[in-house]
Amino acid sequence: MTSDGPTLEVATPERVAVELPIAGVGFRAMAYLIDAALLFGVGIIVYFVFTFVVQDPLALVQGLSSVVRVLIAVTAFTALWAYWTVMEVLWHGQTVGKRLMRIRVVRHDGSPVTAFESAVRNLLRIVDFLPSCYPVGVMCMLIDRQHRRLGDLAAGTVLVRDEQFDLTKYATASAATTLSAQDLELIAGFLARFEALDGNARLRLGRSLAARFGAPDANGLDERAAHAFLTGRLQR
Amino acid sequence: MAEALTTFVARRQPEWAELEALLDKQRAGTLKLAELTLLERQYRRAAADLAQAQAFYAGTDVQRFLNQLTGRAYGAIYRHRANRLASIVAFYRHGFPRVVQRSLRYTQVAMALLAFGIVVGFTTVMIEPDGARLLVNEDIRSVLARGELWTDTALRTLEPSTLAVMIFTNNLKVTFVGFALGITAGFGTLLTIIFNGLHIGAIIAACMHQGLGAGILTFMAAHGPVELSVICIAGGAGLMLGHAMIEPTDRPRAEILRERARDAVQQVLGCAPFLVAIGVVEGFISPGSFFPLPVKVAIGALTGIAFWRYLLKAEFRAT
Repeated sequence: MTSDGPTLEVATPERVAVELPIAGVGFRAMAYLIDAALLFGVGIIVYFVFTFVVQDPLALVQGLSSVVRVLIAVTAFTALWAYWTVMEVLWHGQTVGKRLMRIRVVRHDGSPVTAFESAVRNLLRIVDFLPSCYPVGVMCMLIDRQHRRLGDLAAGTVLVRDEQFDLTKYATASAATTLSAQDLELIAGFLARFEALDGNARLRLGRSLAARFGAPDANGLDERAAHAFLTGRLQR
Repeated sequence: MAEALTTFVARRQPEWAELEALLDKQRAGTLKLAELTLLERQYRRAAADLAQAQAFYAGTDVQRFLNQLTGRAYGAIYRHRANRLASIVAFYRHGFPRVVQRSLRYTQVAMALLAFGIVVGFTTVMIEPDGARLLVNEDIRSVLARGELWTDTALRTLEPSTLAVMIFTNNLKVTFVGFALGITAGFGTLLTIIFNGLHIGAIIAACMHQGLGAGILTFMAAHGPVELSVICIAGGAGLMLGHAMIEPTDRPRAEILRERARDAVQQVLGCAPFLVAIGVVEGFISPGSFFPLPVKVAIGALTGIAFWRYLLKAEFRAT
């Protein structure tokens, strides 16, 4: 994983600058699609239960007084809006989609969102959605350096990525190694991802890494031999 | 000399894991008082580790991991309770009038464009009634042909509250789309405003042909002044964006666009509550004859004057 691209910089009183990686349009769109699919699914279930229980739904709706009809519309709108806000407050800036995409809403100083900020950014979701499918929001994200949509600008919030790091990979290296920290990262990172890589990429990366770290006949190595060489290199 | 990355991780990782566990507890709300001191100490040590990682292990996962861990702990410990409500109040007291005044020229251009559209639409349909076919929506025309105002028909078939919601979303769309089209170098905004004017002018003329001229003016009296002002202000924000793209002065285009966009977005977002308020007037007060004409005119004049007095108050005048 890389942290290239925009970051949210937080200056701590301990005089250490923390840089949180910001989630771009892609992450956010995926998270939204997951949430939207979820809401759509729930909507379908509610609809089927409703039509199953009630014999003639159309007549029922027409029979309601206008006040009740407005109330139902307002309730439906509030429920949709409440999903985002309640989830973000309870799950510290995450909804189902955001959790799956490992992104999180935080305030511009890196602290968790409050109910008020979440309410503002989710009310303005309607504006970002205009005229349909978020062109306003996406345009705003493309202009803004921190990829914020209008709702984020108004609420003072940012979406950051919650990355997962595997620190156990460093345990494969010897303490006495002469490698620089960056070279160690390169080799240990490759070895940690070795099994997950596609065979072709594994061979190509293995050979070029082996050549870079002084294997005598790097291009003749097969992937297992490259792996063994690099594992050995971590011990020196 | 820096310690090797491997030993650094092996030595410090147990405490990082401890800090993570403490933060999980803090999030779940099960942190005990004794653990609070521990959390604070572990946070400081993690911050020191991050400083070391930034110096010696830049670009490694250790640095990124510590970044995230320290950031999370910082957020948990230093939680600013800034009052967002107060900042919203301050925005409407000072910020919004200030940005509107700063870009008044663009709003005036938008007003001129709207007026131009209205005049052209009106004269076209007055001279050639068939022109209404191009400029006025089919549904509205068929209602007008029966000698009724479509606003009254809408009132009969729809609840006033539903009408208010419909009108509000339509206004919101016109306002925000007009603004957003500023990104087409202002060309889209220009067209949106002129077409909006054409539409209004054509409808007035079409009503007059059917002998409903007084009716339509009565309908527009209460909400017209503020609604058209808001549309012009938002359109002005779009034109401002467009102007920044065409003529970026002596600075890079992206830079000036970002700067203007900040003002423009404030200007448009600031309009939103006024649109809601005027949508309510348009849905509940304007249609029908429940409120007599003088009342509607008075409401229109008062809201219009109050709105512009608020925006142009001398104390915010841009320097």
